[in-house]
Amino acid sequence: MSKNTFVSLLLRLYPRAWRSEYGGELAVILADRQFTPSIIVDVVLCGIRQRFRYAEVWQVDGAVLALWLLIGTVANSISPLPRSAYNHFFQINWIAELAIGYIYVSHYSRPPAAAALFSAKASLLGIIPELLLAVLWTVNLIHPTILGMDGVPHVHGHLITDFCLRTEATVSPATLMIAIPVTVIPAFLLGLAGGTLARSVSAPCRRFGTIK
Amino acid sequence: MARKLTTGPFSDPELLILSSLVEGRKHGYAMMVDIKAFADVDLGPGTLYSAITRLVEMGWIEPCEASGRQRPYQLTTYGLQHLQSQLEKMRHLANLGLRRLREI
Repeated sequence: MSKNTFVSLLLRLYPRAWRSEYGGELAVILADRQFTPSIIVDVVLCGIRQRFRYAEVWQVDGAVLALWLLIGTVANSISPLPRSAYNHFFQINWIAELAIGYIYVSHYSRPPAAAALFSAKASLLGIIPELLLAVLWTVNLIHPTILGMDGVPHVHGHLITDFCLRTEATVSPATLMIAIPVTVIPAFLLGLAGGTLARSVSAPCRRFGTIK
Repeated sequence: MARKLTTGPFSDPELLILSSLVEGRKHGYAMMVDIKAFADVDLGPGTLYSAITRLVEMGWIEPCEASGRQRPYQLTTYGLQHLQSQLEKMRHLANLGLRRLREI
C-alpha cells in the first residue's frame, strides 16, 4: 500500500465536513512525515473524536446502543444472562430512545414525528452488530449458540451466543432480521412518546412566559 | 513519540498553539516545529488539527489566505485576550505556589 493511499484511508476516519476544511492540510503534514505507531494512533483517535464531535445526537446514541449490544453479546457468550437481566438489558434501550425523542423536540425544536424518526434511526444503528452476526452466519463464518427463554442452549454454536434472539424453535440466519422491525417500530413509538412529552412539558412553560 | 504531553500548562495543545501564534501567522507544520522548539512537546498531527478545529470554532484563531499547500492561521483579538488572561492566571498560580513552597 502506498503512503498516499494510507493517508487517504486515515483521513476517511474523519467526518466529511471536517475533511473538506482541514483534510488537505493534515494530508500534507502526514505525507511529509515518517509514520510511527504513535502518529497512527494519534491520527486514528483524533479522527474518532472528530466523528463524535460532528455527529448528530441520534448517531452518537446509535453508536452507544451498538456498543451496549456488543457488551451484552460478549457477556452473554461468556455466561448466559438470566431472563430478568436479559430483559433489563434491553429496557435501557427504551430509555435511550425515549430520551432521543425528548431531546430533539426540547433542544432542537423538531416536531415529535421527526424526533421519532431519529429515534428509529438510532435504534437501527444500534442493532448493526446483530445484523452483522446475521450476515456472518449466512456465509457460514459464525454459528451462534441460540438460547431458549430459560437461558439453556437450544442450538449449540461456536464462540458466540446470539443475544437478541431467544427461542426454542430451530432458526435460520434470516430469523435474526426480525430484530429490525422488533427494534425499529418500538423505537419510533418511544421517540414519538418522548417528543410528545417534551412538547407537553414545554407548553406550560411557554404559557407562563407570556403571562409574565 | 507523536505526543509527549506532560501534565501542567504544556499538556494543553490549545495554549501551546496560541502561544506559538503570538509571534505571527503560521501553518500547521510550522506550529509543530515551533512548539517542539519552545516547549519540547511533540504534538501529533491529529492532536494539532483537533486543537486547531476547536480554536477556530471558539473564534480564537482564524485561517488566512492559503500559501502553497498549507494554510496559515493567525490569532484573533479575542484569542489574544484569552491567551493573555490564561497566562495571567498561570502566573498568579505559579506565584502563589512558589510563595507557599518558600514558606515550607
